[in-house]
Amino acid sequence: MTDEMIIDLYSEKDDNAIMETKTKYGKPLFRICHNILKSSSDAEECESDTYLKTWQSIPPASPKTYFFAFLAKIARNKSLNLYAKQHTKKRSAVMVELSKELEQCIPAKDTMKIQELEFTAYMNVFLSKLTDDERKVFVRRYWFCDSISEIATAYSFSNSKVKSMLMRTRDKLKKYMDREEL
Amino acid sequence: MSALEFLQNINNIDNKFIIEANTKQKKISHSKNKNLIKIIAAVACVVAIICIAIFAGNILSIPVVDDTPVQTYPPTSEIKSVSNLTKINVTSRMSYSTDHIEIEEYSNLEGDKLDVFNDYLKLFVVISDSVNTEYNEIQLTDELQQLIELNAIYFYDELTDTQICIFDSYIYVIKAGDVSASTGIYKMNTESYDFNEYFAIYFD
Repeated sequence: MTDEMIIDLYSEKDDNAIMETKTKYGKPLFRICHNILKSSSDAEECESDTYLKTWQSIPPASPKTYFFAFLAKIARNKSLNLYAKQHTKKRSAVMVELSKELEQCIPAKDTMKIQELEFTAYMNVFLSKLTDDERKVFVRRYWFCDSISEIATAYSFSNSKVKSMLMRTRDKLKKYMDREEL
Repeated sequence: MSALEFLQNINNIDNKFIIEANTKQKKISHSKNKNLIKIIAAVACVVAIICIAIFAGNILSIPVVDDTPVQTYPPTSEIKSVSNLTKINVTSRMSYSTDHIEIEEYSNLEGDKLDVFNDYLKLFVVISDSVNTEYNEIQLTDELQQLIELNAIYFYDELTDTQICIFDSYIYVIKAGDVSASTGIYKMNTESYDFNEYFAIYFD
């Protein structure tokens, strides 16, 4: 079933909308949640919350051309929020790993001068300047939260190549942020 | 900003980046294909360059087809070795037959020069096998001077006051020692040269 047809089901408040969404996008949505939470039950919970949120959002939203991105953003946001709630004092291994990587390039907490919306706009500019491969690897790592080996397998790169690509991209991000005084 | 905050802050990046990353297989395989094509193209270029080099080498090594008549006398390089024989004074007549020539007496010839001269006499015998009485009278005295300057064989018979010049496929006979007299210069193509006819002129 096409995205447009599924969204039409949501618009008509047809119960089959959720079933069709799960059939088409259940696996990638679960993977995003699991990458962040590292718990199958928590990932399933977030996946279900994603369908509920989608049911509530369409209409008025009508993401016919970006349905997967729409779903993935909800699932990711739900997962990050649940993660934040569960790990207020102690971070999980995956977040420790990501923190180590990102601490070199992201601005310090008290020096952040802009709001989330502005930050997203800057990130869009930054991502658009990367090469296709650099951008895909960066997004897979820091948006989909895939592991290095998963990215390497998906793109037929070696682990070391993925690591070096990410390192170069983080360096670019740091320089970009310094230049933009973020 | 903590890593978690960073991840939350980039949640709303442009949808196209998310979709692009989610369709990794097709995109990357396309990229890999491009790399493969580049590698194949590079290998093909190297092979092509090697082939061209080999082919060019073969072309250079192929002898140029020489459609000029086969020369049956000593090569020009040998002729030039006696180019300083501006005058050979044959002091007595030659005796000859269609098979061989003997010079009974002569002067100014010795060693290698004599050998080369004898080679020429043998040449005349060879030439005589292709009998043809035709020969051409040439009008250009300048041409003869040029031949002499080009180190053509040039010899002279005192008894008959006749000069002979041999250059490439032609024998030039200058009777009466008058180079400037156009009527006295004969250019004979050695390919259609009649030995007896020649000596009839020479020893007339």
